[in-house]
Amino acid sequence: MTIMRKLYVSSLLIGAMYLIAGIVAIVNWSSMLLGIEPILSIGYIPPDAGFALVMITIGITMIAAAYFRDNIAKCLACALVGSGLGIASAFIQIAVTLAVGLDVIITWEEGDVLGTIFDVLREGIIRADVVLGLPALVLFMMSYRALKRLL
Amino acid sequence: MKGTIKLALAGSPNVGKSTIFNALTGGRAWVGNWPGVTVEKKVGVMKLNGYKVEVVDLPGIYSLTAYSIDELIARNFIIEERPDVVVVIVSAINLERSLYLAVSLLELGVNLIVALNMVDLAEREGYVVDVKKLEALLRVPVVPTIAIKGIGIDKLKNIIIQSISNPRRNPAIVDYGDPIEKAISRLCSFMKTHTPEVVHTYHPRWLAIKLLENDRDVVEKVKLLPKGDLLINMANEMRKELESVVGDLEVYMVNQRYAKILEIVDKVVRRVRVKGISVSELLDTVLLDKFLGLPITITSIYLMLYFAYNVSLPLVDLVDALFSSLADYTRLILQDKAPLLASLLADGIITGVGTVLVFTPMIAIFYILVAILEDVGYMARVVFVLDKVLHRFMLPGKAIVPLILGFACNVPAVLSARTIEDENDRKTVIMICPLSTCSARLPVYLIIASAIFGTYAALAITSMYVLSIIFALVIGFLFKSFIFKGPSIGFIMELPPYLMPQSRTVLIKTWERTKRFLTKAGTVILAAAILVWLLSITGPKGLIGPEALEDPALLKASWVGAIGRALQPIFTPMGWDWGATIALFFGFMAKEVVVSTMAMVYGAEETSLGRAILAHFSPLSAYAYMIFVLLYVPCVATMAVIRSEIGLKYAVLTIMYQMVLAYLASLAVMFIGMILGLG
Repeated sequence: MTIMRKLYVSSLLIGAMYLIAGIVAIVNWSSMLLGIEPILSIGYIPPDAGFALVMITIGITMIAAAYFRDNIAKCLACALVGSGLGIASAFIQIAVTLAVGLDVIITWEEGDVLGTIFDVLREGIIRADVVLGLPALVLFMMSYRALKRLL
Repeated sequence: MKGTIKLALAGSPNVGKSTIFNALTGGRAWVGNWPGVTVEKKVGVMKLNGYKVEVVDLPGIYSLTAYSIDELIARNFIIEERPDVVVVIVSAINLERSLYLAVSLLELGVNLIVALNMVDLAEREGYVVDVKKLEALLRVPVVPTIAIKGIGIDKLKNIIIQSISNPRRNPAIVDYGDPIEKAISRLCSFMKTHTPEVVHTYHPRWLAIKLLENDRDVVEKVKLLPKGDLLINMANEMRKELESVVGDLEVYMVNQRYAKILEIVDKVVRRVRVKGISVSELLDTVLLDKFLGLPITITSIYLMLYFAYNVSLPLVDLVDALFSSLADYTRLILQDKAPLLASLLADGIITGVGTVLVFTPMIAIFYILVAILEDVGYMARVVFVLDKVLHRFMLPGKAIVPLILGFACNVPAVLSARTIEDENDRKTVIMICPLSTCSARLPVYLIIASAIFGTYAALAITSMYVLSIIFALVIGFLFKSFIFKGPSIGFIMELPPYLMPQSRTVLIKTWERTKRFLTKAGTVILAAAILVWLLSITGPKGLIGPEALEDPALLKASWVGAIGRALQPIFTPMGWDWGATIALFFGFMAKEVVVSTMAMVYGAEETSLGRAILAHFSPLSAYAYMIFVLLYVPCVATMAVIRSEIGLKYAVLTIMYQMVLAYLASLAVMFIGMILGLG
C-alpha cells in the first residue's frame, strides 16, 4: 500500500466516524427539540447542533481526501485540514473540560466537590470529539509526513 | 532638536505597512491581514538624529486615483500637507502590483523612499529582487526589509535621515511616448506662464497628466483657481486630439505605467529555484474550496466562540465575585452614613458597569483567537470565502471588509466602506453595516444565552453571527434590487501566505481591542448606568429613593417604570415585560447598556442576574430578544458616523428599517416557535 493510498483510506474511515457522530448528534438534538428521548445512543455524543456542525465539517473534509484521491495535493490538503480541525476540536474540548472543572471549584458552595469535578472531567474527556482526536492525530502525522515528501 | 519632519507611510493592504509604522514609532497601530484595515489617518512620532519625525500612516491603497475615497485621502494629504519624505512599502512577493503605487507617488513629485518588504518570503517562493538595480531604475533609495522581524528598520531610519538633506524625486519615471510627452510639456509651460498659482500647489507634470486623464477631483479643484478654466479647456482639446490616436487616454496612460513596471520587474526579479507547490497553496485548495470553504469558516467561528465562552468561565466568575464583594463592601460602609451615595455606587455604578465588565475575560480570549487567525492569515481567507457569497446577493466584493470589521465595532466598519468606489454600493454597505453583530452585543447574548440555554449557549451565540450575515446579505440584496440599483464591482484581493502568529502582534491587537471595550465601560456605560439609576429612584412624582431598586412596586412608579410600561404593550406579543423593554430603550446609547439596565431593573447583582433572566424569559422569548438586540437600532456612535458618511436621511432610514426588521424578525421567531410547540 502506498503512502497516499494509506492516507486516503485512513481519512475515509476516520472521516466516516466523525460524520456518524455528527449525524447522531443532529438527530438527537432534533429529537430533544421535539421533546422526545434521544433516538440514537452511541458512546458519548452530546445532542448539540454546534457539536454536530463541527463533526460533520471534519467528517466531510476527511472524506473529501478520498474523493480527491487522484489529485495528490488536494487529497493531502483535505486530510491535513480535516485532521487539523479534529485535533483542534479535541484540544478545545479538553481545555473546556479543565476550565469547567476549575469553575466548579471557584463557584462551589456545598456538597461533594471532588465527585462533581470527577464527573465533569469524565464526561468531558469521553466525548466523541476528544476520543476521535486520537485517530485524527495519527492521520495528521501521516499527512504531515506525506507533505514533507511532496515539498 | 533640529526641527520637525513630516513623513508619510504609504502602501497597499497586506504589505506590512502597519508593522513598519509600529517599528518606526513604537506606536500601537493595528496590524492585520485583513485587506483595508487602516481606514483612518494615524500619526506616530519618532526621534531620529535630533529630528522629531511625525509619521503619518496613510490608508492602505493600490493607486492614487480619484475613484476611491481612501485614495483621495492619501493623495490630498500628500498634495496639501506636503510631507518631507514619503516611504512607500512595496511587497517583494507581489512586485508588479505594489510598484504601481510607488510609480504613482513618484509622478506626484514626492521625495520617495521604497521599503521593499517581505524579501524573505520572496526567497522562500524561489526568487530574489536585485535591490541595487531596482534603486537605479527607480532613481530613489530602496531598502530591503523583513518588517515582522524588525530587519532593515535601522537602515530605513538612516535612509530617512539622508533623504531629508538629499531629497530624491523622479516624476518623469514613465515615458508616455512622443505625442503625450509633448502635450504634457505644453501644459507645463502654460501653467508656468499663465497659472503660476497652480504650480505652487501641484507638481506641474503630475497635474498635466491628471488633466489629460480628466481626473474629476483635479478638474474640480483647478476650475476654482484663476485661469483654471483656460488650463482645463486646453487639456480637453489636447485629450480629444490624442484620443483619436491612442483611444481612451486614461486607459492608455495606465497601460503605459504597467508596461514600465513590467519592464522594471523583468530586470530586477531573478528566479533562483523552480517553484513547487507551497504549503499556503496546498491548504488553500481546501480552505477556499467552493464546497468546503464555507462550512470550515462557520466551524472555525463556532469553535472560537465555544472556546472563548467556556474557557473564560472561571475568570468570569472570579471577576463577578470581585464586583459582588465590592458592591457589598460599599453598602456596608456607606449605607448608614449616606444611603443615596451607597445606592449610586453599589446599585448604579458597580452593578451597572460590573455586569458588563465581568465579560472582559471572555471578550479578551475571543480577541486573542481572532488576532491569532489574522496573524496566521486565515481571516483573509474568511473574507475570500464570504466574498463569493456576496456576489450572489448583488453586493460589491469590497463589502466584505466592513461586514467583517463590523463584528468588532460598527463604527470603523462604516468608515471602512470608503474604499467602495460606487456611491450606491457604498450607501448600501453602510446601511447594512449595523447588522454585523458587534462585540458590544456579545455581553447581551452571553448573559441571556448562559442563563437560558446553558450548555447550548455557544450554539445560540453562533446562530446570532450566522443570522447577522444572512440578514446583512438579504437586506443588502433588497436595497440593491429596489433602492440603490446598479451593477456591483468585484474585489481584487491578495491572499497573504500563512505565517506563524507573532505573540507581540497578537498581544498588541488584543490589548487595543479590549481597551476599547474597557474605555467604553468607563465612559458611555458608566454614564448610562448613572442615568438609569437616577431615572429608577425618581419618578413623575419626585424622588422615590434607593428603595425603588429593591421594591418592584416602587420601581414601577419611577421614570424607568413609566417609560418601560408605556413601551411594553408594543412588545407584548414577544412576551417581554417592561424591564426587558426599558433595557432595550437604553441600549440605544450602547448595546452593553442592555445588560447593566437589566441588572438594575431586575434588582439583581452580577451573580443573580442569570437567575432573574431565567425568571423573566422563556427560551423562545429569550431567543427572540437576542434577535431583537442583534437587529434593532445602531448605537449612537454608529448613527453619528452613518450621518457624517452618507447624510441624515440615510441615518434615519437605517434606524427605521432596523426597528421594523428587528420587530418582525423577533415576532416571526415567536410565531414559528409557538407553531412548533416551543413556546
